[in-house]
Amino acid sequence: MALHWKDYCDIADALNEAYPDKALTDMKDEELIRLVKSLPDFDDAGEPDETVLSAIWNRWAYVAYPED
Amino acid sequence: MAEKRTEFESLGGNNLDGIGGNAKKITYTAEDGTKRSIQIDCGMKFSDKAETGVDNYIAPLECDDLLITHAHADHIAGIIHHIQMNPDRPLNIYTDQFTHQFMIAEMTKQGLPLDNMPAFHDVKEGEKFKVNGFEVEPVAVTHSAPGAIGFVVESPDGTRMLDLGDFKTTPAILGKGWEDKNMAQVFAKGIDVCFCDSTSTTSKEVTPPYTAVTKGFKKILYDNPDTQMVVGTIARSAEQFFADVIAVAEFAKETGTKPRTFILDGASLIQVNNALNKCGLNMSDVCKKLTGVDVKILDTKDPAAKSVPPKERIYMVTGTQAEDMASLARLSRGQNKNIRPSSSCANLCVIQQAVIPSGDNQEKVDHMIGALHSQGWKTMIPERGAPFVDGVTYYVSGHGRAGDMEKLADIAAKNQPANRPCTFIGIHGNEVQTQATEKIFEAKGEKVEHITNAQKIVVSKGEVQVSPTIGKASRIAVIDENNDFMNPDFRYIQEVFNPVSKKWEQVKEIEYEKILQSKKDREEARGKGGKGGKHGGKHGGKHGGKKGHRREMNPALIQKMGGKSL
Repeated sequence: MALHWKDYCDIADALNEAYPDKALTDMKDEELIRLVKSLPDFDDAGEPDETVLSAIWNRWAYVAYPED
Repeated sequence: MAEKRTEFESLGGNNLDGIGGNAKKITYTAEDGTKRSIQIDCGMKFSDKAETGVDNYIAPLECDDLLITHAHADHIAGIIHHIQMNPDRPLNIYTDQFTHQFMIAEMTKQGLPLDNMPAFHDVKEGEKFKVNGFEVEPVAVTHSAPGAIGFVVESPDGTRMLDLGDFKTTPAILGKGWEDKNMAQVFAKGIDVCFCDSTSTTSKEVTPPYTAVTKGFKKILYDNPDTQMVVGTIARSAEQFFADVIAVAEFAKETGTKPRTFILDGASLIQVNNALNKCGLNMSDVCKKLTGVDVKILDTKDPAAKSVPPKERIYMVTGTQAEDMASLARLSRGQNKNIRPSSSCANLCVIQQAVIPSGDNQEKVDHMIGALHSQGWKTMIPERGAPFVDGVTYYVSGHGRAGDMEKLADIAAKNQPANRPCTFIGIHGNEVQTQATEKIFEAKGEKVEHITNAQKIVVSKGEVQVSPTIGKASRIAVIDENNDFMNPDFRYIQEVFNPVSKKWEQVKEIEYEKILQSKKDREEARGKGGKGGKHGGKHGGKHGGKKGHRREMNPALIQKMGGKSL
């Protein structure tokens, strides 16, 4: 199933599976974009806007840090 | 021909039974009878589920143009639920950048599709903008959440109303906040009605500033050398967190030692930190500019955090009200996999928030403190409303007390035009609290009025009056069916307030199509020719694109909600 930028929930799950020990604090947008593009199922040639990146990062934070 | 007028209605927040569910609507009626409205805030009111069967209540959302004062749940948490119920609603949200970023975090928590997110418009203090025929000017205020603003709303006929949101009158330490001279300028231009946060106005004096927390936290550092620390906080109350950061920097400078390291545990603190970064308010950077000291803020996954000696660690965690799954409660049960008491030093847990007097919070917190002791943690917790001694405290509220309102009254008196005195009205509180606010302004010689929910203030031809009719206050009960905030399953019940019986009555359960989060679920649903499943209603319905089943209301829940099933 090919993932596109707007599939932020699925992207977040995939990121958490691929990089379970990644610390998210102070992560730069460039690094987040690089990690998303490294996912095997990711298939979107477009560029993300600020809202998309925020959505991916925030959802990943919920998945990665359940203690709350 | 109609009479031109501007009306302010409290849709929620002036509650008989306590703080929460804040929402206000401003409506302008033109001479031709046409009306235009905007809403300020759409919040949530907590509920004790064991007593009511309901998780929380949300305020109505009556306009598509929303001004949001700040990021606390009692001002914003209703919005996501209204979107769940009506995902195609074209909402416009005008707010500070920090609040915008935080709202994105909240919406992604429930997996709201990007196509259904509202349009955000970042606003800046002092920069006016037009919404639906109103001219709006944001005014920076100080509150525990960064980026808190009030709004001056000017109608087409020149009526000016000021909603200050939640505020106190001392400066912010992170970003912009209250400045007496700015408020003086606002009043100098004329304000017809000013609505004031009444949360703490039954307490005397001025609420202490965040610089007092810096002093108080520094004292804790001096009193507890060689101690691993855990600090419980409310994630959105970043002003207080930053006061701690400054305290650590100053302590390091004063003692010539290496500054301690903050380690964030839990998604919401990491998200608040990220939201601050997006606003150009990285706490480490701001601290370094102010103090010259490099204070590190890491999180529990960072390998660098593991190599910090325990006596140099300050873990920041949430769960000050003993929320069951939060970091602090897990710590008290020995279930927090990231934090352990150290055998090489003392261990101290500072709960940097007074118990919020609601439901069984006090009992739960007392139990949690006992459990922390048994896990090997010494604890500190402030007393709500405790006297402020020698300018030192380690917790302060973000709400103004009586002294703050007196200060505001003085600013208004000195600056408002003589022919345009302001009328002051208490909001954001129960009857005792809002009337206390009004008495303060009245004692200062200012005009006051009083309203409850579903009651209007009407300004017409320069006259300010309380509408004699009181509408029917409404709210929506939110029931979380599966306790899975990442993939939620909510039921929504419309309620109205009966002013005769003074009780809330159920009207109907709201049917809606559940928004599907994952691409797989959406593709499955498309393959079956439908959207996501229906929710609620008498006849139940399909759920989430899967095979349907009739959803009966839990009999115990029916009993708790007054015995009436829908």
